[in-house]
Amino acid sequence: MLELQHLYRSYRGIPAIEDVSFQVAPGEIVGFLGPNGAGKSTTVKIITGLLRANDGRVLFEGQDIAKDMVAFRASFGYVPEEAHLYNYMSGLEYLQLVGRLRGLGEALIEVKATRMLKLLNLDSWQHSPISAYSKGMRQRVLIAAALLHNPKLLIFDEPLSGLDVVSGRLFKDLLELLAAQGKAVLYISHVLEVVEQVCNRVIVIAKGRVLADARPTDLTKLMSLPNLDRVFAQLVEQQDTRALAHRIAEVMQTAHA
Amino acid sequence: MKGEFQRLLMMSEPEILALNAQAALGPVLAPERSQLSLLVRHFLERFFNHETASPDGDAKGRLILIAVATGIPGLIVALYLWPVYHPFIGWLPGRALNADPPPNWLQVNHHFFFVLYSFVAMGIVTVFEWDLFFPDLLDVFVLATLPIRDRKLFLARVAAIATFIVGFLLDANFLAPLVLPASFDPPNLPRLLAGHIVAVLASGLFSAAFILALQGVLLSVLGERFFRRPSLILQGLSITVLLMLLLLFPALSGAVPMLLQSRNPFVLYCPPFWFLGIYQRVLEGPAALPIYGRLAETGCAALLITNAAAAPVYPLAYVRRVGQLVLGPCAHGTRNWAVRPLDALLHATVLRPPWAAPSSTSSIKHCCVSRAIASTWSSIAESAFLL
Repeated sequence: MLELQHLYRSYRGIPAIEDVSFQVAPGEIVGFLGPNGAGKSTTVKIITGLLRANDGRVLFEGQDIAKDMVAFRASFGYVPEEAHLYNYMSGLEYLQLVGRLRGLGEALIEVKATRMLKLLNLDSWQHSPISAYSKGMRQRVLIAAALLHNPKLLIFDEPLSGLDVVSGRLFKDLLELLAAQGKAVLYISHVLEVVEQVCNRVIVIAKGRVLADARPTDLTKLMSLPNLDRVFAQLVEQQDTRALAHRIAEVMQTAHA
Repeated sequence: MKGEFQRLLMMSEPEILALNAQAALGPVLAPERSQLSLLVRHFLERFFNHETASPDGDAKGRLILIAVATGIPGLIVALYLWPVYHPFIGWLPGRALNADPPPNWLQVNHHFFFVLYSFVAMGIVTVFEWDLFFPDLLDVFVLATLPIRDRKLFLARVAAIATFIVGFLLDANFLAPLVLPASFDPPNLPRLLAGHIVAVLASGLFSAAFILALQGVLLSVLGERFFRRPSLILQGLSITVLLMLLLLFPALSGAVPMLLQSRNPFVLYCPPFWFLGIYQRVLEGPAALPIYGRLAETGCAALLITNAAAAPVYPLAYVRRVGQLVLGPCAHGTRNWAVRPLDALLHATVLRPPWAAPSSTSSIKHCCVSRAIASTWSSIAESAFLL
């Protein structure tokens, strides 16, 4: 469904991503992992059409997305890392705006938005301004907005950020359900335990290059490590975190200049 | 819960219901609008939904207050002028009212107030909305990922700005012409109205277009990051100058005859006087003083130049702003499009990517050094370009 082919993007001559290629098939939940500055955001910006690649292309259902970006944008739902929402609107108004701009009918928006907010436990807050929402509530509004038009592809960038345990569990169940319906899901997160639980496949990126693309179980078996956390550490970490932690503690305890 | 979500996601357009079933559904839903009109409405709402305009979040109430506050002064002054043109002092029962009009220079001062007020009101309103005339992070991350053409987003914002400016232009000026014919008792009413309307609209439009063009030029030249620094200072300075012009009007009006008769350079370089020239030129026709003709010419030229400058500068600044918002911190070094080729050359020849360095510590140092060198070169190139 979604295919990235040899993506390359540089900023001021410095490559942010180089030769990034992978696929997300229908019904798959693909984890996209990498340390800070690895090139995840750049890749996601290219997929969502916010940024253009210097080289390479993104195909959706076999078509280059650059040829008809509007049609492609109609096919995906995106939950960004930061909860970008209009604070003066209520949750319901925000969903209405997104639904209208996506071309959904008024009646459908009304039904979907109110029911979605109720299911996400936001019904008592639906008329309150978003500025009064907690981080988790804002995140739930973003998730509702991404699902409103029943997209084929879902891109979640740290979707569990701020969600409580119950909402987190609901979201994981929802992910499985969406994948079972044949939707392709790209899941970007730093919480490796969750990635290991929900993703069929993980892609590890570091320094702008894809280092691994395999099932989490295959990766742990191949590298003879107990979990994805250790695999990730082995693949991307250059620093001895324990030694670094000791040094930070030393600086904290310094009494004199 | 899972089943509920499944049903909700699979839901499509509902079928058309029987009339009694529709009636049972309750209130009528809002009519469906085109994407462009939705966006224009959304941008207009945003103009009144920010911390400065609406700190308590009551945008509609605040909009009404701002509209009234902008529109009322013109009306009040027009009403205040009625006794000036229709003096009761000295009038005795049984005698005709002394209806001699005030001296010509006093009338010019009255016209000057309306021109100046339009200039100041539009300037202040435009400066207040300074930040929202261009997209911000919210617009980029919410709207740019929806199925909307970039061109449509741009057009919608331009339409919203145009609606905003025209709306306030009319709001600031439409009440006074309703009262002025009665207050002034002009010998030639059509000329007075034509002169008044053309001059106040031109004055307000020039003020708004000038500020928009200035912002566009600064954003294009300095870029998002460096624009933020002088932006606040410029906003404060603009408001101060505009308010000073209005508050000093009583003092300024006393000097108007002398300034105009002596063709003082201040008159030639102070924009409200240009539009006073238009006012008097239209009102008096060929009989107007030559200085009015000259000022009117300057005013017309300035209006044309400002609008002609704003037209190409705004799209350039818009594109640059969107690009920098998308790039985020990575864009911080790109101050000017003119230095990009130099950057590319430096990175292709002298500088290496940070991870090409042998160790992590030296990588960090190398990165810092690279950035410092690139930044220095960029600054030199930019200064040369600007000079």
